[in-house]
Amino acid sequence: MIKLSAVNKTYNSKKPNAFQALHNVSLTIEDGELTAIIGRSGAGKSTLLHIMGCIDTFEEGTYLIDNENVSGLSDKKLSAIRNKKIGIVMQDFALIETYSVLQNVMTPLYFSKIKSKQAKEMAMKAIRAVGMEEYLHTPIKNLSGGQKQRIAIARAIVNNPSVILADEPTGALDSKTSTEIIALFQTLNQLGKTIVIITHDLSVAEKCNRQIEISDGRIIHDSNSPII
Amino acid sequence: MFKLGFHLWKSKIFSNILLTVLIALSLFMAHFCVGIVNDRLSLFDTVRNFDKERTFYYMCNTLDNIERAAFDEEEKTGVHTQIPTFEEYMSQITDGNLPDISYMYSGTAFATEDVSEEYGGGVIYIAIDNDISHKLNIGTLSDGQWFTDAPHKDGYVNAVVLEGKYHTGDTFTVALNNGNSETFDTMNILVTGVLPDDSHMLAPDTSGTSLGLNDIFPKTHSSIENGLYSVIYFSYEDEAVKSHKDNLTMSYSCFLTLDSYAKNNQTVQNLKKFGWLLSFDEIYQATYTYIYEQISRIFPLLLGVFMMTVVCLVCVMTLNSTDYMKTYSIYYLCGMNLADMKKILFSYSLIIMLSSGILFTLLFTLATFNKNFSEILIINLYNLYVIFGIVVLLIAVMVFVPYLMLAKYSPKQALTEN
Ligand SMILES: Nc1ncnc2c1ncn2[C@@H]1O[C@H](COP(=O)(O)OP(=O)(O)OP(=O)(O)O)[C@@H](O)[C@H]1O
Ligand SMILES: [Mg+2]
Repeated sequence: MIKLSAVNKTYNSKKPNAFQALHNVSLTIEDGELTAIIGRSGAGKSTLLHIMGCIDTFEEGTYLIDNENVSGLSDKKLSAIRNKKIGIVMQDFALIETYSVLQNVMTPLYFSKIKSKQAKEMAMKAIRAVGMEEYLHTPIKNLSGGQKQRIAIARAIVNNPSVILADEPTGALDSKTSTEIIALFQTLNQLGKTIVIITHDLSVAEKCNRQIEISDGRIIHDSNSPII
Repeated sequence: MFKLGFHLWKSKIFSNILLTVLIALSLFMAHFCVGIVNDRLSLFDTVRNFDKERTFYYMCNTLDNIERAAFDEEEKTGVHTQIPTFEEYMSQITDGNLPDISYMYSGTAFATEDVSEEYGGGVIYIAIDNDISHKLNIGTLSDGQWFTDAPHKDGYVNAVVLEGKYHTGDTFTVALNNGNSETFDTMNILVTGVLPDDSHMLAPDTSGTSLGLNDIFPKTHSSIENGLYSVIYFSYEDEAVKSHKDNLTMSYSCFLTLDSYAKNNQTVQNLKKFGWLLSFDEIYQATYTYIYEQISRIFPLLLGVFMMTVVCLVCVMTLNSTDYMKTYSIYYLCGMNLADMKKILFSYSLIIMLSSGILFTLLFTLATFNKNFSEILIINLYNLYVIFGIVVLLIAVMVFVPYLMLAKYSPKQALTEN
């Protein structure tokens, strides 16, 4: 379970160009939910996802993952959360272009100190799950956008996290490919994963069980609690 | 984590190999420079041991003491019974007389042309650095002529006289034939001393320039350190002479402490005829000047090489780090913590330092095959200190550049800023 309460995030705080990207954001996502976060460009969607993924910090409020308060955690514990509990698919894929598909997907497993034989098996399983087993040794730079997105998803699920956060996973894809990618997320959700997808594509959002809309750093609509 | 460090290294293999070569070369250059500097500095050790209380030191061009001629007891009592004591020898010089130097040349000398013909073959040995390394046929003097009436003993000539034409410090050229070859090499000969009867004491001129105090300095120092050292001796090919080869070597330059001799003007005049009369300060100054000159030539090179390495290293590391930043940020996303990152960085540096070390050893081994290098390249404590220092510094640079960059711009920022 993910629970944010009254989270405020200000970029460049205490500087003249300070900018508050999130205002009092409170949000609870239960295990097994398939949630879409929608909003216009600059609304603060990515900011929210970064906070949920423990790759960015915030000034005020609390953030609980499975009832554990994230704010006070050490670098080591936070990285363990990123490594094991949450799989993140970034807007720009965040893949190492010159490394092969297999190397990229195996990356999180190095940090969980898994033996290389087992790591390879786990990576193969994840790659098979996204239908990319033919490209094991292809460098990322030789893949198409949709293929890269699949690899990014494979890497996000390789360590069996319970939560997957995806930032605009269909943003750069044509409609056919994006349908496939969303179907992939739906399958993962049916397998029990909690999934949060950021999108500004309403047709993508419709395929999710829950829609949350943010604007100017505030949640303005939540399909679970229509009246805010 | 080592594996990730290796991936990092491999992903920019060309710039990393460049880095490796750069470090190996700079280690090599540093080692080389330290070797040279150290070689020169060791001259000071000799001077440092001088007795400051003594008023004068005499740098002469002849044997420093009789024991050093290292004749066998048997020889001393046989042919060389006339060997004067050091005191006698010095008093001969200070009186302005020709000292009896026959013992120095016993059985050896420059041959006159006549004698060379008389004895057929005219082979001479020139021994340098305690080694009889050259067997040469006598050629012709390009200038002057061999002294025809050179005194000789048992068929061997004691000294060569060059018609009073030369002074201490002059050079002239001799054509020499090496063994059976038809070609003649030329050799520069230094007049290292002119004796009162106009006979000249000679040595091969290795510097190629005219003799100055500073030229004779290193040799003199070495001769003191190594016992008999810079040696020249010439002889006919003769069984008797050959069997004495090792005994017949002699020093032609040395320091002598002379406070008792340097009291009256006439003595000083006479001394100056055969060498240099110096005070301690002058010797110290001369040594200092010599060493300073040598080192000041090397030091900018050393500093330049070092600065260049550091600058290049910082540049390459900065460029690499910028490129690696994206990789680090992705690692961060996948669960890398700071301790992991240190390990990755360290593995990466380790690979570079190890490969540089291997390359350096290779260069070093190759270079020691070259005789000119091998003497300078001897590893001693100073070299080890300097190399150790450089390695530590380079590792520091290699680790700190990425760290500095990370302090300004973390993987987290690289991830969340577009
Ligand atoms: N590192 C940063 N420093 C300063 N301001 C930032 C930074 N990152 C984001 N912002 C600002 O915060 C606001 C929210 O940005 P965010 O990236 O969360 O928007 P978004 O909803 O993801 O937009 P998009 O749909 O274009 O990805 C924007 O106005 C942006 O300019
Ligand atoms: Mg965004």
